Amino acid sequence: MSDNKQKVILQTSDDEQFTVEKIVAERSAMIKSMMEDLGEQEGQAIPLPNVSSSVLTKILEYCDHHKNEPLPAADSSDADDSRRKTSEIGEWDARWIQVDQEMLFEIILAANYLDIKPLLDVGCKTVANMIKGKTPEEIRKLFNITNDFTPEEEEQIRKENEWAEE
Amino acid sequence: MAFPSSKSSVITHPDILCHILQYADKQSLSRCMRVSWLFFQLASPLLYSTLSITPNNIDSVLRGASSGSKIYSDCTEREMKRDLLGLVKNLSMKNHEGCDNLGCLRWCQTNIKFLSLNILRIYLNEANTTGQPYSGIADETFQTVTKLVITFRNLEDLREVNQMTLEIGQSIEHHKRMFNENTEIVLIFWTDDPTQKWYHNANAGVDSDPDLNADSDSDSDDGEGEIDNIVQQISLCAVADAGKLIVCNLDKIAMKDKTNMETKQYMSNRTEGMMEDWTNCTRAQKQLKNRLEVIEYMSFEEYLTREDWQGEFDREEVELWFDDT
Repeated sequence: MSDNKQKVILQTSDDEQFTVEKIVAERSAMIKSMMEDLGEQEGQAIPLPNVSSSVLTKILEYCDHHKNEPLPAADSSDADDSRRKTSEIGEWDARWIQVDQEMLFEIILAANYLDIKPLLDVGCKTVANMIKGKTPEEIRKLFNITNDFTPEEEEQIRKENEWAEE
Repeated sequence: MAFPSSKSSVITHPDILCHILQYADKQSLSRCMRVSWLFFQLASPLLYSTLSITPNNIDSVLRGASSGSKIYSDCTEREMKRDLLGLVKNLSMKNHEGCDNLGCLRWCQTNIKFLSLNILRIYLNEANTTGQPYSGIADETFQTVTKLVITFRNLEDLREVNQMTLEIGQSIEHHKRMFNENTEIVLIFWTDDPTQKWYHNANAGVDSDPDLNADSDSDSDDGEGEIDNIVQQISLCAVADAGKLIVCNLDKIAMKDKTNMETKQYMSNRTEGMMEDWTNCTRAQKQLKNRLEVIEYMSFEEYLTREDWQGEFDREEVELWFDDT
């Protein structure tokens, strides 16, 4: 009777099936629109070829915790880069996202793919906080990034943008 | 949609890296610019979108602006620092020693163009001597500006700015051309804290320079000359056909024997009168109504409660105003 109790089946990349409350699955704008497309076809699994079962388990924990919060506006543009955004993370979220780096990146990728904006924000804020206070070399090491500057270029960029570090 | 498969390349996915950098502070952004060319490319628009130039950082901000074009290892030829300054959308200029904002010699020599400038905030607290109204900002700077916030520290400056503006070219016509139609202009008569009056008493000249007093018009002794400067400034901005003209803190300016409200009323009446006179001279009666309609008076506290001031002022700067509201 109640819409909230409706279930939906999600199928991960490693062919596991998860039966989830509709209200939890709807946190993902991507799943929500797929459910709308599928309509009333009960029992049909929604395939998520980019998400593994271990990551989905983790993400469903997040979605379940936040299931009663209002969904972000479909069109809430975050394109306004002139405003500095706060990198603060809610208490529960901060605890929930204490995972190893590989899992963190998997979560970010999945949040991006599943279109769960608040979760993508939490993931990106976490990485931003990891970067904070690190030197460029430490950042490269942390994320395994190749330095493609010449030493002169790196020095020039350092000198010319020093003002931001004062 | 192509997503990276290798874990280490997640962070170098441009969409995701861009999203991450939105939450980075200035120091992080500046360091990220040195990580790799991709990081440089994504972090620099964020770092340079808002720039606040202070007496302490001007040399550092300008560093590299005169070094000319170079070929870089990412196979581009460019003037790196100039390109970076060209990204600035929201610029705030404070006076620094021996300088008048953008009219400052150091700016003039480097001849920097702010191609994407959107909000310009200038702070007038020293008389300017550059022969340009509003501290010598080159006229073309205004072309992309949609909002101009002018903060006044004292009345002496105002008189000089007005004079400069009126002397240049056909004065009002010139002034009008400087702005885009529909630019929003905000005039803030700044006080250091919200409880302080901006102008207590014209006779209070305790800390003012006696030489300057001797020079000034004799009728300014009762404060009316100074009040006229404010009226003149508001009128000048109004005839520039701004889309919106917000005047902050008129109620903080007290005239002798008048309450704040009376002062404010007096000034807004005087502004109307002055504009009517000018309008009659230029046969633009039709515009007068519009020009008067776009003027909004409010306190600075009120202005700060609006959504759109953000980025114009540092949080620390306005903390006092927040505490009291």
